[in-house]
Amino acid sequence: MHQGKRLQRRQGQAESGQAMSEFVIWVFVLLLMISGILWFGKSYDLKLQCHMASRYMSWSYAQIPETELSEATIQARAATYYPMFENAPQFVRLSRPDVFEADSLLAGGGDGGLGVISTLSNLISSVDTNVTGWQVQASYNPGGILDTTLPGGSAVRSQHFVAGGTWHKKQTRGDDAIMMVKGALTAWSYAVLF
Amino acid sequence: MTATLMSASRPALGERLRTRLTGFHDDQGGQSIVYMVLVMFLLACFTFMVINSGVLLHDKMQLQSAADASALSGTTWVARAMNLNSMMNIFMTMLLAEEMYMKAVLWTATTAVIISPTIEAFWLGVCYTTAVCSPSLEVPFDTFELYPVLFEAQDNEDFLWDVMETLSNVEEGVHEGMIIAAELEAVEIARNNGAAFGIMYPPEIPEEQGELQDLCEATLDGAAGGYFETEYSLGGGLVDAVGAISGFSYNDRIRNLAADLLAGFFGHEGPLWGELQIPYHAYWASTAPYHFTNVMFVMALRARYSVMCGGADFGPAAVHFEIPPEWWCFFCPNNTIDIPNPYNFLGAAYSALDSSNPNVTPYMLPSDWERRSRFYTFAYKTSSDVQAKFIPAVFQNDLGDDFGMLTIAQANVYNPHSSGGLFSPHWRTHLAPVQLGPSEAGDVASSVVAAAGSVAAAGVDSGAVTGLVSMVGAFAGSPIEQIIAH
Repeated sequence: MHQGKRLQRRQGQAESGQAMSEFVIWVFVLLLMISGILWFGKSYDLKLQCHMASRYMSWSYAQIPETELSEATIQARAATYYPMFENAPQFVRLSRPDVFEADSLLAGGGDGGLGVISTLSNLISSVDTNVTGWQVQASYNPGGILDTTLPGGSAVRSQHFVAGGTWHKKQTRGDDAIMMVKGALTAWSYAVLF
Repeated sequence: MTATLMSASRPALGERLRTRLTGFHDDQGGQSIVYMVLVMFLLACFTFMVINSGVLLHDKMQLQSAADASALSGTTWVARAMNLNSMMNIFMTMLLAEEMYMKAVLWTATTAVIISPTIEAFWLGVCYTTAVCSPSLEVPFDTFELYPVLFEAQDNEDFLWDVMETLSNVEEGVHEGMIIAAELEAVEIARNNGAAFGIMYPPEIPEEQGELQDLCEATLDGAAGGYFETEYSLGGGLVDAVGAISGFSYNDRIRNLAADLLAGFFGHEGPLWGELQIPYHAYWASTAPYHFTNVMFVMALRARYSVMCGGADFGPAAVHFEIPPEWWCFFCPNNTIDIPNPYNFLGAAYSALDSSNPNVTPYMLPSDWERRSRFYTFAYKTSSDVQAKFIPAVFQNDLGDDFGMLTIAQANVYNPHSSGGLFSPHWRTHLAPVQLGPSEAGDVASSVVAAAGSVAAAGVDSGAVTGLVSMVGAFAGSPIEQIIAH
């Protein structure tokens, strides 16, 4: 009877603090997960900011013929609309990559293709199509522990391409063209009449 | 006895079971690890769902952006084509005005060569016989000055027609060619923005081939946002210029008469009654010093416009007068006199000569252009391109996630000067809410399937094209909401 009580007391002494240890471990795990989810949410928000900023930059640059905004104004507006003060945002202008495969029949390239699409694509590119591409990238934790511990750092980025500039009268200086044609026709009339 | 002993040394079955269960209940060894594994699994699933949903939303957001950019970029080329053709239509109105001038020169000079010697001879006779005037002998000989322009007017007119026909052909090339550029741009931009494939519908620019007469109204009145004579003045306007022209026998009365005639046509803002006329008035004032040619040129020009553009009204064949007899002649009938209206004969003659050119076919806005100015772009990702590992049912379209992900965007081509039509080079494009009704779905599906088939040869991933065709083909006759990414 006394032995049994001693055994129970010993077991009680061994379990004392176990709940505390488990609680600490679980709290640690939960905090880690909650902070991870928060970090993910915040980085996703940053990704959205980059996405919208790149979209805004591309469209604004493509629309310069219509809006006549200066590049400085567009950049200032982007910084205001999509603030990423603590995330070291970087704005990088991109040139459009060629998306047509070179090995198809019509695409041309080194394996005997006819090159129709390549030619057309180059033709479009050679015209002032005003395709603008922007990459906006930002870091969730610039220079911090996440940057050094995560495989790719905590930077997110987004790219966007769009074509703009509809060659409307103002963009193509249509008023000047009309006056030029009018002047040329007047000169032609004098030339053929006199 | 035995049974009694046994029952005394061993507890009853119920007691034993209770004891064992109690012991089992009190034994908590290994319980925590079970909980931990279970909760860790649930938390891992939860974390996976959070990240997967984020990636999935990013997939859709990226694809929707691709569709938006593709629609805007494709329709940018459509608007470019319409702006180019609008500018060429403006140029054609100016050329048409020149053509009418040159035709009026031909008619005026022809008439002058035929009529003026008679008129001048008559007045010479009057002057010599009555001795009340002193005619210049230069006048009859000046008729010969008209011969060069008379012989060259037809060639000059043909040159103008050639230029207009060339412009008309260029318009056709723009109409046919730039929609290809638009489709290519839509595909390219969609792929630049992360889609496997994209395509724009409809593959046609909202224009239709018209006829020469479609230029008439703008030639006379200008067009909103296009050509307005007062906005493109070289030096103060036609009436002022004609008033300032000096030349032999271009005296004040004739100048005023010509200016009055011109002023009667003003209120029109097209190039026809604008400063392009000045060289012609200068010509009549200095080279062919016949009073009536200055006036007749304006009338011939108006006649030319009427013959070509309709609304020809050259007045009655004759002006009828009735003169009552003197008061004392009770039995006398009214005197009637019909004076022939020369403008009527002139108009009939002009109408018989020439009226149009069927080879000039400028592009115009069709009546249903607003419906046709709505363009839809589909952006597509194959199921392997979708980065999310799992697509919950709530995110799936009716086809499930095996067919990939599809988004749609709409862009409208519009003109702030809506009444200007294809004489107003202000066409632009903007994104709009998708208005694709079930009735249009069948047309869209068949068009996209056909277009995708042709683009497939262009080197785009055939799997992507097949996937898009499968998805779009599936919704023919059903609402688009059933297949786009939710």
